[in-house]
Amino acid sequence: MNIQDIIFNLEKYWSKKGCLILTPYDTEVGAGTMNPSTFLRVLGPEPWKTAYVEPSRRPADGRYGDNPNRVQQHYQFQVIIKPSPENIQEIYLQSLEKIGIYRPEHDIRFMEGDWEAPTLGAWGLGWEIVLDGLEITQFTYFQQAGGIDLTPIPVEITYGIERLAMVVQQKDNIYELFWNNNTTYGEIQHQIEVEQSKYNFETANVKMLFSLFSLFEKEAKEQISKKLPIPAYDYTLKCSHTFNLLDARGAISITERIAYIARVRELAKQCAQLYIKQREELGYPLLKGLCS
Amino acid sequence: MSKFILEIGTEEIPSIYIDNFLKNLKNNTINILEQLYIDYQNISTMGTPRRLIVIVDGIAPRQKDIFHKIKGPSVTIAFDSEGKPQKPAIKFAQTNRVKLKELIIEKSNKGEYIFARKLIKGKKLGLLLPGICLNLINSIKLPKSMRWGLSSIKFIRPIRWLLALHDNKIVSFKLNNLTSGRITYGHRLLASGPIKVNDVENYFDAMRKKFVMIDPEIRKEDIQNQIFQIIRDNDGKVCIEEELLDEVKNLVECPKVLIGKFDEKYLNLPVEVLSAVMIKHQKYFPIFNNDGTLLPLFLVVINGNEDRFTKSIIKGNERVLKARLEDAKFFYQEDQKITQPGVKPLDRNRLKLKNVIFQENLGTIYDKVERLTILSKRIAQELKISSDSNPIVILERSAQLCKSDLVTEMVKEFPELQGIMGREYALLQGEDSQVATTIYEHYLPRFSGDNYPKTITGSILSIADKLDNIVSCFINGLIPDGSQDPYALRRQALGIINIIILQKIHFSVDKVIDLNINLFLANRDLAEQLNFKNKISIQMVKDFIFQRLRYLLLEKQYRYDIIDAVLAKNPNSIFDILNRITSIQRIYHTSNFLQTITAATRASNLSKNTSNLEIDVNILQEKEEHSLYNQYIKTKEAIEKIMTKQCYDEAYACLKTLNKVVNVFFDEVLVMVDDENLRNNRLALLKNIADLYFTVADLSKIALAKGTIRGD
Repeated sequence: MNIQDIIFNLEKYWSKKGCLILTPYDTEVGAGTMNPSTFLRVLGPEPWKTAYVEPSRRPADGRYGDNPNRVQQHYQFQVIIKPSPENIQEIYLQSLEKIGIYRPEHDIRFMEGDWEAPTLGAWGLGWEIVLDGLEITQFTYFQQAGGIDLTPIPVEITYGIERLAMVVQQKDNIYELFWNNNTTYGEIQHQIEVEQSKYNFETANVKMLFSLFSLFEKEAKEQISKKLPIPAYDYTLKCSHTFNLLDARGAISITERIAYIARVRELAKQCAQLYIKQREELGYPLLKGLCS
Repeated sequence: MSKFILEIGTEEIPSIYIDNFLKNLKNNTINILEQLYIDYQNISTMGTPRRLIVIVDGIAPRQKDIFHKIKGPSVTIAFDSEGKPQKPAIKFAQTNRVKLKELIIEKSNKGEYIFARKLIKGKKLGLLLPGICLNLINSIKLPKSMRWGLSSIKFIRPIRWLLALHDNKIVSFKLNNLTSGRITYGHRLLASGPIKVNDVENYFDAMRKKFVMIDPEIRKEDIQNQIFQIIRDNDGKVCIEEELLDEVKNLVECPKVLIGKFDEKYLNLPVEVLSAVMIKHQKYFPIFNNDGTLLPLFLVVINGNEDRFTKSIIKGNERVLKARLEDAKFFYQEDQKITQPGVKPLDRNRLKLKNVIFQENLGTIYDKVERLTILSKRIAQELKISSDSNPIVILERSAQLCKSDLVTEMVKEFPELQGIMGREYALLQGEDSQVATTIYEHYLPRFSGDNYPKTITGSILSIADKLDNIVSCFINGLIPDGSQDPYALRRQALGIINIIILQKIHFSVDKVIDLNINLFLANRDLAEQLNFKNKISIQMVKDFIFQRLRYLLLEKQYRYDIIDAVLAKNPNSIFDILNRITSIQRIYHTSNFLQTITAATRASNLSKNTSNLEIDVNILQEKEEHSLYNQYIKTKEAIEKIMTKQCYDEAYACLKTLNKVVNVFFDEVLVMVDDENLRNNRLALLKNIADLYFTVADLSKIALAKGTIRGD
């Protein structure tokens, strides 16, 4: 099964399970969790079910296209359901069957994997789901986001699309995966990896990035003060990505690192608090069952 | 025989907690049943990642009847002098609904009181079991807990079903939105539907049929047997890591061991790297040849899939291991790359340590390396290792490079390989093999039961590193307190002590601590920043280390009073302390030593308020006084010589020559005479003698063996 069929099948499956099929966000994110469709929507009492693909950037993981397993941008398939349903593990295992992974044929393990996103003030407990020794999914019951205790508890399922494809297509090298039946992952992504790795590690303008970070942070604070959590969160995401670039570039020492993470987290916290208040003032529109 | 079972069905519980939960659950069951006076024959707990089970065999059908005693008024109030019950007794009997003649009298230390004995009829088990079940679930001690969905309760992972049966009856209770029943579930991948259990007896069979081995010990045994079987067929040897085995047995419900292989070219990686990848990351067992070298094979424990699918499962695991090893190989090569001509990788990395924080407010690891270089050289100097000798050259180079591996890609990926990679990379960049060994050894011992450094250079650097950790925490106010010791400083202090004892080395702990503190304070920014707020003294650090020493010696069965007698002298060298204590312990039971203690204590007690040490030879009067003085001078000279050799058996042999003259002196000469000059002179003499007696240890702290009386 090629990558796009994997995506189609997962979308179809989760759509049948009542999820909104949304799109990737239009700002660089490190993970599908950072998309406001997850980070903001998990807050508060309103139910929420969604699934979407998210291109996720990890500048420090760049390997110039030389490593068969690591890339500085990979694709996640993100599912978020609030409140977490009772038989969610079973629902998940059935989703694997839709992409040709049948459970009697594989050793599928739920291995302890606690999850934490320090820049988002978020954490949860759950598992790495390991298939024949390979981690293919992160499965988490969120407990906190933006430093706020969540009620009800959402469950997040994050599939690594390339990992799934490597199992399904039995490939050792990410670049040999078929995106459709004619075109490989390498043909689409390889040059991107080469150039972005060079940018992330060598040519990114550090001075500019530092000043961008400050500008983005300032703008986020400005929008928070105007009680606009959604644009403020956009600038928080920009801060986060700029920080990741600086980090990959080796421009941030370990002491400074902690301080930068704390600055982003503070923004994320304030966005979260504002957002909750805003939903309350709107009378929690989704409590009326739009989402089911 | 009646049976009870509770099965808490969960989503996958992290394997490392399961054994503890089961122990905890068993103890809680015992406690709860005993508190409720419910008899039973046997309690066992078992479990898998998806279920925690309590089984009680031979559980009584009802609580035991018990008598409850209620204290009433005192006998003097309750009865008159003829023994007739009075109003208080009558009233007491009425309120407690017992007849007057059923009242009993019991004596306490406050006098006699009347008691009502009430029979409390035991309740039927059926009424109590729902509460017991809830109590059992809530009483499990959770290291981490979570909520899920709309749950209001917390558990380690979501609870999805509750099976609770008393023989064939459901024990009905509610938890959150769940109702207990007779439904359970089999193996998730092999038999995923619900299973109805009619009777406790049928539970075990049902589980077996649905591919669940509920007993962790049986799973463990099963894994071991399968491993031995495979190994026999493959002519290898497995050193089964108990820790890994315990983890793996709780990752599966139906273990099946498979063997896979990897490309021999990866065997070029250090064996520790290969083991870390296999054991820590993939939970595989490595296989060794009979000569102890690693074979390109591994064992993986899977969750019981059918044989026809195992081939592709092995292939999947092999592919993952290959990717992991490929990563490790990449790190290994990257770490060895020379990026600046003429600068070796570990030297380059040493400079990178300027960006790595050691501890809040206390500079970088680079600063620490600089301190360790000076500190370890000072210890060597204290040990009389000459400054242009080979060990010093080795020590200096090792100290400079000892933390360089912290910024290698390999250690970033596998932190447990610190020290090991330092050693490997040192050898690869052409360092002296003693440097490589010293780098590795300076982390030893890493945990209780670990090896100790074998070389003197490794020992010295290890002591310096550990002392620097202790001193830095003390400066930051992170002093261990009660059970709190997050930086494992006690373990580090113990490491220092054991290294010293094993290496038989003498050095002044004071001097080294002093230097270490000054090395921190030499950093002016730091000294200002800390504002000397948490003022640290040499004695604080020393006391902390000596407290561990005392604890260790007590554990080794040395007498507490001998330890305290020696420590009272505030000695500087740990090895010297041990020598003194061993000497005294050896002679403790001899009559000579008893006499020495007696004489010493007599002299010490009488002169303890004397501050004057000046003896005026001209006013010595009596013959016994003169001979005491002469013997004192002779012994003193001898002791001074002996002490430089630190030979304590000899010291006590010499001190005992004083005993006789001291005793004669006390028998014949009155010390507390009216003449003040004479009195003070005699007291000064005794004071000097007491001090001489106490050269090695404060003998007044030693408790005499039974039957002897201490003179004064």
